[in-house]
Amino acid sequence: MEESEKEILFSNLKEVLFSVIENKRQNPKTLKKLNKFKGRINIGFQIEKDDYFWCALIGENGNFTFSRGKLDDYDLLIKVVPEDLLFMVSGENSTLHMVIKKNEFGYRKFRPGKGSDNKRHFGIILKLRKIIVI
Amino acid sequence: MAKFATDEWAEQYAKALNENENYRAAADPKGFPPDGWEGDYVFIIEPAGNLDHQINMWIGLHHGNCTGAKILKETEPFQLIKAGEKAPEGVIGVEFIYSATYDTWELILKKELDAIKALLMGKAKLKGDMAKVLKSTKAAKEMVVTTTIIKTELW
Repeated sequence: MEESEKEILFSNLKEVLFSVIENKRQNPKTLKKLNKFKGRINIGFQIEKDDYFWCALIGENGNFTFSRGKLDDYDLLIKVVPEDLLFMVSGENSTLHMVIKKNEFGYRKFRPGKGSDNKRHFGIILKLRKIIVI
Repeated sequence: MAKFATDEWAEQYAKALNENENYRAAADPKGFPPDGWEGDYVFIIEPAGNLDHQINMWIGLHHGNCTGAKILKETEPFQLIKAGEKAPEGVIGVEFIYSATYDTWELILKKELDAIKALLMGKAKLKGDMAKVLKSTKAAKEMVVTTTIIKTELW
């Protein structure tokens, strides 16, 4: 994938994620969840069998940033195909579906990994779902 | 067989969409609560390959039904509006515009490219309320699937 294509992919993914976050800001119930969320997540978007495009989502006190590259200090690492994440965000694919079913490259659709402290932070996965699933 | 993005094709598309039970289920009040999907689209087919002019196709959508589809003439302007807004008189208001070059549409029609993937990769563009579309990806997918059901002659 060329650099210009990566930039387009990044900006579209950012638009998708922030449109969901903005949508949740409109609802007092979900706004509470946004404000409570605290996490640093590396997301490896699988674009080829062995090629990942890394982005980082950081959330704290209701503020969210999504940037290109990998964080050194992170709570959670996820590997996912971009369009599979979109179907998870839209609610069409459940978390169970994402964890069980395989993607076009033969891997599980949603692969969570350990944080930089070598621990699994399952709580963040559950909280993340409440943030990014519309 | 109808030529892609002609009035005949648009008419067949509207009919096929109304016969697509999966679309209806995804966009009716049960599939898209509380009232069902509301929001017309314009598909823009930008010139590329054998197509030397832009085609704008309007698709009316209301609560799981396709209220009509037609190719817009140059004298029929359209504009993006928000839900509940009204377009100025003489202008067709649509909530969503999905645009791509003819080459990309051809790949979608041949099922060689997924419309959602095309969007993420920047090969297609969507204007409108992204959050609303995300709530109805199933219906959006069925809209695209319906384009592949029609026996289509390419340009």
